[in-house]
Amino acid sequence: MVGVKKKMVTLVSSDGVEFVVEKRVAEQSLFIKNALNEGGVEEKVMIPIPKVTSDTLSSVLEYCEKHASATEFQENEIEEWDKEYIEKADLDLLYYLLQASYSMSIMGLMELGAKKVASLIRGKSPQEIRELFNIKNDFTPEQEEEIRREMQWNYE
Amino acid sequence: MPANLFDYLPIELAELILMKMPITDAFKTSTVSKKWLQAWTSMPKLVFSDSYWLIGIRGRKTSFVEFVDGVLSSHNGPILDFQLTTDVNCHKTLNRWLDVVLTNRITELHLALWRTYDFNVSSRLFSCHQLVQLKLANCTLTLPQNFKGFHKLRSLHLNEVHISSDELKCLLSCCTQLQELALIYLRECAHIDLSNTEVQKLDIRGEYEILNLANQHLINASIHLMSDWRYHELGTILYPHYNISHLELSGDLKVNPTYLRYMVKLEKVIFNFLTHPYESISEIVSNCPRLKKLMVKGLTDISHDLRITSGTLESLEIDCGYSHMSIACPQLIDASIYITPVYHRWNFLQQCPYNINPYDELDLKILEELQKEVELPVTLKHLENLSLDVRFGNVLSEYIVFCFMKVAPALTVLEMKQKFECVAWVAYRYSWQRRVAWSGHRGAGTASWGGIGACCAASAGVSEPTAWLALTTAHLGASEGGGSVGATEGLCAPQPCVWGAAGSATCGGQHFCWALTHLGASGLAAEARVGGSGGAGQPSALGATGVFAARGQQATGWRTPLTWGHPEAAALACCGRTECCALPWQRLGGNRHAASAGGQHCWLAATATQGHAGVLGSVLRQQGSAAPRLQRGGRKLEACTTARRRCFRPIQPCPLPQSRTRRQPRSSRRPLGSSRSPEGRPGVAFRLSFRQRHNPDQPHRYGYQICRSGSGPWAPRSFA
Repeated sequence: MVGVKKKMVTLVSSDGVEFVVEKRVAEQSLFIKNALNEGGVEEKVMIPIPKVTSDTLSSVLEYCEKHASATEFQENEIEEWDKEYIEKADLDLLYYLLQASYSMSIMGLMELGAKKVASLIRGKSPQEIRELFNIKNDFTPEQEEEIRREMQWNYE
Repeated sequence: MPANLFDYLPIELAELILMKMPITDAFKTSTVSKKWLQAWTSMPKLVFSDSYWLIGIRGRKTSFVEFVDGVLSSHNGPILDFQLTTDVNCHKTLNRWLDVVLTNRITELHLALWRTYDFNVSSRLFSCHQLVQLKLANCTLTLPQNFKGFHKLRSLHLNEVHISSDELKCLLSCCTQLQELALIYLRECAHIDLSNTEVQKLDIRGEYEILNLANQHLINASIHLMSDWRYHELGTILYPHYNISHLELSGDLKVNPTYLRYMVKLEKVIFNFLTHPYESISEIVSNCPRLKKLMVKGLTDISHDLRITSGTLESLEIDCGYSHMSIACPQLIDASIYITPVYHRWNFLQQCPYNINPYDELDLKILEELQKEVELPVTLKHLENLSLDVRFGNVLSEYIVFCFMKVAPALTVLEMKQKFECVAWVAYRYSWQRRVAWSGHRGAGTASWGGIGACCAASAGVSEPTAWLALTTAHLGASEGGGSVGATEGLCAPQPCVWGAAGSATCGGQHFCWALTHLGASGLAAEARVGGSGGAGQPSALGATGVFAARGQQATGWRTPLTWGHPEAAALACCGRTECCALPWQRLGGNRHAASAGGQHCWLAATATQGHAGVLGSVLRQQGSAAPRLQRGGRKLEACTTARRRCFRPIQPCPLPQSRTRRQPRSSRRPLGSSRSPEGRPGVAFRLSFRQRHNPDQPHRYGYQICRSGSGPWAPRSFA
């Protein structure tokens, strides 16, 4: 764009990769928005994003970019995009996206990720869930037996 | 990278995930690991509904009551959002639950009881000062003497709640933050006064004696009043504050045009089931300088004129009867119009009182004169989406369709649908007269999907596999979420053609897909396959998959798909034989992905008239792979660049159906395009077909032809 200088922000992922994005895109994250407001001057700001790797961050920014310009699209267009976006994430990325959206406070992405995980969990038995997400069963056999007894209807 | 990532999920995220699924599923996760158990017991939102409790009841050891008890007793975090829908009618049980839930932390409470009549909501409710949203259904509210109000309450829904006028007044006056209010059938309330509130969004239904709904904040009102003797006057119940921009009216309500003059901020108006406001509609439209959207539904009186003249209107939906309609809205973008089937006026040709003898040449002058029932004085140059309720097989109503085309040069999406009763009637008629049984008459009753009905009608009518092409419905464009047309091959070619059609219904959250069927059908030669499926996994979308096997061996048959949104659905076969065989359910390649691959825009419509031939109008627009997006009127639509343009050739006269005994063996049938005179029977066949003119300035301009055929030679006539 000629004439209009867009305000840019530099985000640094946990592995040191810098991402230069428009401010309005970065502000999809409340965490960054707050950081910017606290910082006051927005010129040449470097914001470190702890715990988010460059791979994840680039995917997160893809989401932010789309949603920063959401008003240009029709509602269902965005929905479709969201669906495709989350569909193509594998389990690992899904986890990292959730984690990142949580630490960066991106509500929409958090909801989206949670919904996706929920859809994976639905209708599965506890054992299947453990296998799917590679979750360790940290109950002792006694505890498990107790829960089993208490919550009988779980094992119908 | 740790392999067991999800062990490290923050507890808040686990809670969030659990809140995204039904509570029974969420519950199952509690034994996955300690973290999930913890998330489960601290989940702040609990939604219980026994409507799904019965599902999967096999082997379930606990009752709904035990389950809720169990969950509530093991829960150890604050409950911020509690929603309960149940027909449990034991007051003791309900109170036990509410005692746990009604704390001063709770922000959202939905309580819908269906089998109790006098459950008095615990007075502890009135000390829950954090409440932001409160929805109650079918219970009794008794305000305590010293009630000070819910100071954070923004949304209040009372549905068949027993509450007196005074108490309601008190409740409304002391909830100062209230913005959204729904009062639905409050039987013990005779008097409702909202003048001192700041409600912005109102939904009121029921029968009330005295109403004063106006306050200066009100911008969105839905008013449905029932009354035996008292007609409320819309103007007076909203007087003197007219800031409303969205207004929905239904039931018995008087609308005096003089008051409407002051409602200058109206942007969206919906009329539904009103008995007599025709003049008011015209008045509203011409008096509202900002009106963008108008819906008129349910008016059954057909003796009135409907005149809609507006320079701002962008969206119009007419679903009612009228004797004369005039639409002069140059800014119109979306329109859905019911082309009224006034039976005595527009009937099938042989019953037509206007002396159109079906055996004579169709006189277009007569048609044009009759068409004045619908007047389109201005060009609708922005009109992109048009949906028409039309009676297929009725030349006059079809003619109106084409008149719409004439004034809408920018039309991108056309949807043709047919009212239930019409379809059934058409189906019945054809099945009777042509003796084409199709999927039983039960089928006729359920033929509420325009496309199928008309297809069947057309197939029944033409009754000849070698030369017919029938498809109603359109709206297969990419502008509709998930709907697009797949591959279209050689529609007019005498080879097998494959259609893929998929689409999601327009009525997203509803149960039925009344609106349209995305069904492709084509049977020019040996075989045509139709594939369609509901888009986007919406339960509302009608998935239709079928096979048109126009082989002369199977008769028309289709079955209603019961599993919405599934790729398996109706199988449809068509042929000239008299018996019917509904094909078994089939799972064809009609899934969404296959169908949406082509990325083409297409619509076509075909109908049959007289049972002799198809009046057939069809347009196929194909979209090139590099379709640019056009922005018009703030909406993005896939525009059709006519990369390849295929117009239908003028289709040759359609042979009349022959009796079974005369049927020629398939091999000896003539290919499409060879004219065959009807054997032994007088008849007329005429078709309307679109032709795209090759005018680079007006690429979307259509001309059309009406051609007559019959015993005489092919006699095309062009006009417009």
